[in-house]
Amino acid sequence: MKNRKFFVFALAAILLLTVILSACSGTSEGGSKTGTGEGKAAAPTKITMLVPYFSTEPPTDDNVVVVEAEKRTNTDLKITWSPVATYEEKVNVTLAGGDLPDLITVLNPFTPQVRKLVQQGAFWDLTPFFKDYPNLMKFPEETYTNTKMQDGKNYGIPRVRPTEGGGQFPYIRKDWLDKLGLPVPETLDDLYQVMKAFANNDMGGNGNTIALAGPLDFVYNVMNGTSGWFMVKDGQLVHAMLEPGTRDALVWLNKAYKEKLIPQDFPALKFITARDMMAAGKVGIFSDTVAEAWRTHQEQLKVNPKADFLPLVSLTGPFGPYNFRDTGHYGMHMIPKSVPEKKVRAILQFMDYGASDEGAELGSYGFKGIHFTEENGMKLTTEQAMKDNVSQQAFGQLFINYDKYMRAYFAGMPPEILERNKQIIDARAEISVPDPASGLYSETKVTVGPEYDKKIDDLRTKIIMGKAPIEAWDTFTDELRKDPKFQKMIQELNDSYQKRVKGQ
Amino acid sequence: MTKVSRNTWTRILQDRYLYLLGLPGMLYFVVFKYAPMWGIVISFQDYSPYTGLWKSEWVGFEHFVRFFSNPDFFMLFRNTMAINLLNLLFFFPAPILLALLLNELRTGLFKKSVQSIIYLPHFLSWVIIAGISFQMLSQTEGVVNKLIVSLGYPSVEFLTNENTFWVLLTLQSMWKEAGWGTIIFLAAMASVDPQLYEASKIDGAGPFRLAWHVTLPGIRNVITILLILRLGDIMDVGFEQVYLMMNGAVSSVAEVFDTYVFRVGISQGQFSYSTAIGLFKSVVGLILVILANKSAKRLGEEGVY
Repeated sequence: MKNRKFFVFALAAILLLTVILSACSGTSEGGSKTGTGEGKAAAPTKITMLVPYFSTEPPTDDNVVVVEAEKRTNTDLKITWSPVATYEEKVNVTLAGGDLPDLITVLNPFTPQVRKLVQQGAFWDLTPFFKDYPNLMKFPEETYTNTKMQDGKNYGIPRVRPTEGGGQFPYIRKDWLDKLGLPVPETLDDLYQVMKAFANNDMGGNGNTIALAGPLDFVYNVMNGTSGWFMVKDGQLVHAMLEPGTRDALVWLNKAYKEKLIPQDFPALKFITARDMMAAGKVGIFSDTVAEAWRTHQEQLKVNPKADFLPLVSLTGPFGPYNFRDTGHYGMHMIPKSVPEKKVRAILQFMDYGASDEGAELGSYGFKGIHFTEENGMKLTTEQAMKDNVSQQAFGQLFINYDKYMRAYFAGMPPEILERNKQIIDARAEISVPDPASGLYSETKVTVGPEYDKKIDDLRTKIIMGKAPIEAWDTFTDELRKDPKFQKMIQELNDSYQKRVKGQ
Repeated sequence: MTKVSRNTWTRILQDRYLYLLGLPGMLYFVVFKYAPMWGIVISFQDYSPYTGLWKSEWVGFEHFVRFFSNPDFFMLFRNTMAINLLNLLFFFPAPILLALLLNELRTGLFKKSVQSIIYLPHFLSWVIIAGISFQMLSQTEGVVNKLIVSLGYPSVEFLTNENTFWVLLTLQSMWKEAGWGTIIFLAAMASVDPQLYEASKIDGAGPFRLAWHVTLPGIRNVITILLILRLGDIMDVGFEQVYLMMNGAVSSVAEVFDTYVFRVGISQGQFSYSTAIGLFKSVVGLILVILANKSAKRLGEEGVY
């Protein structure tokens, strides 16, 4: 009896101990010191970071590129890699937690979360520092302008990206056009004729050719001559959805829907499904980036060697030729105010090296001869690169330089396609139109914006599908024009826009 | 009073090892269930993670006012209630009926294999079920629609029709969970006294009479308890299911509190607003549970507490 009692007691004690221990283990790690002794030039600077990765596996601490980057920049990197699929949540949780790393990559610098923290002074204003770092200064002006916060300052090192080739814009089955003897469409009207020809001649076979699938935003953009939901009219920022171009786009799309040129259940059709249909040769026109066009092209080539997927240079609407111009960035690397200035300098030095040609090559391609070979100016990655996890999707997320043609290229692309894509990108650069509202700030938009966006989007869907008459759109937009909250949102965005135009 | 408390203490002292054994469990509830409840204070604040719980500004009922005065509130409420009432009406009795049918099966192998098959969908995630639904019902790619078209009829819009969306959701839930739900009812049925069956049979009761007069009354208390618990969740609609099945054509009937919280609250970083809506849902759920429990007791049932 006594023995049994002892047993119960021992068991209880063990259980209790486990609970206490497991509660403690959480805190012991976070307490480790950051920063190194001052003045010792030889000691590597310790930098903690939160960075997304797009590769299947994150680079490990002993990854060859990481080790080499540490050696070249005299740093000791402690990088938390987080998969891109859940990266935004990871950032939100990290920001909410308050225990920030020395460098935190934010893919969208304009979320209310980040803005609020910037307003509260949680991050370093890096604007005055950049001039000392020649490689960072090589980034285009546009990249810096578009990463400015509402106060006109840069609170992060931009993750530089080219302005061309990134938008979801139509690419077309050139081989179908050739078969039908049609020229490459230049206007929306041309495009409509091509769509009808594709469908009527059942170019995809099986009697259910879909002329146009994928994102439809380009129709609104061409009709309004702007990118996104805002446009500039007489120097003022206005909501593009209230403009006649949007109504015309709806009529255009509704007609295409009625004539079965677009999928009959397009709102339920997932992007990826539509893309697969394009790759399978059932669809004539799809919207995606220049590089992505090659991906579906490549898949179709396996069954049809004559297939040719051509990204369009532009489509002409009432405002002239249009194509999408990107912001020149994909987020930025931010440094919390808790980091001392000396270390901020060290981090900038580190990132500056990453923006040099040498650093960027290391970041995305690794060592020449081991991870890549060079052939007529094109870098071909070797199998070793795969084994060592060396790619743009891994450490290339941190070390990158400005390359105008970055989005022309995709692994495995033949030189003639790359050359054609470069020409397309050059031609687009002449006419492309940016989103004027990108990065603009409106307090009202944070609270009511998503609700309006959804209402607009839902009604557009209904009108295209013929579930609501086009007159419903007129009534709806009339209401929006009188809606004080909606107007306040536009007013605030316009103020923010005017501020930026005046260079404040 | 003192006598009672002294008694309690003596008893605790007597069973001290048992209490010690229970301590980790109690700690678990305190640390992970009760302590986080204080988080609801942020629904009365203008909470910012940077300033934290202690320094965020107090705004009283501002978030609640904003929520209730929202013109979409009625739509959200209607959709949430409609989907849940349909579930209550059709999905809730489905496992009971299934369990009654299974209960009639006496042979082992057939019963076991049927059970295994109907349990299976429970282990599929909603993402997969949404994918399957799409593969079956889509107008461009769906198998069902291809069949309909090949028979010479026009294709049917299963996924983009506002009028049938709630039905679609209910059928999906039934397909996924009805089988799994039978487990608890089958267990309850197993505990019904066999003598009752025998007695009824001698009195000439057929299988329907047996089910109606013996089995169902025998598991009545289980049904009541599950119903009360279900009422507590009446403001919750499975977020994943609705979120995955929603599209622009049906969103006026598909948007529920949970998707609204996600879209307007969480993804916009409005934690206080999200919490306010969550609190409202919980309060409604709690009231329903209490009411249902009271009326169950008044009707002579046991209730959940």
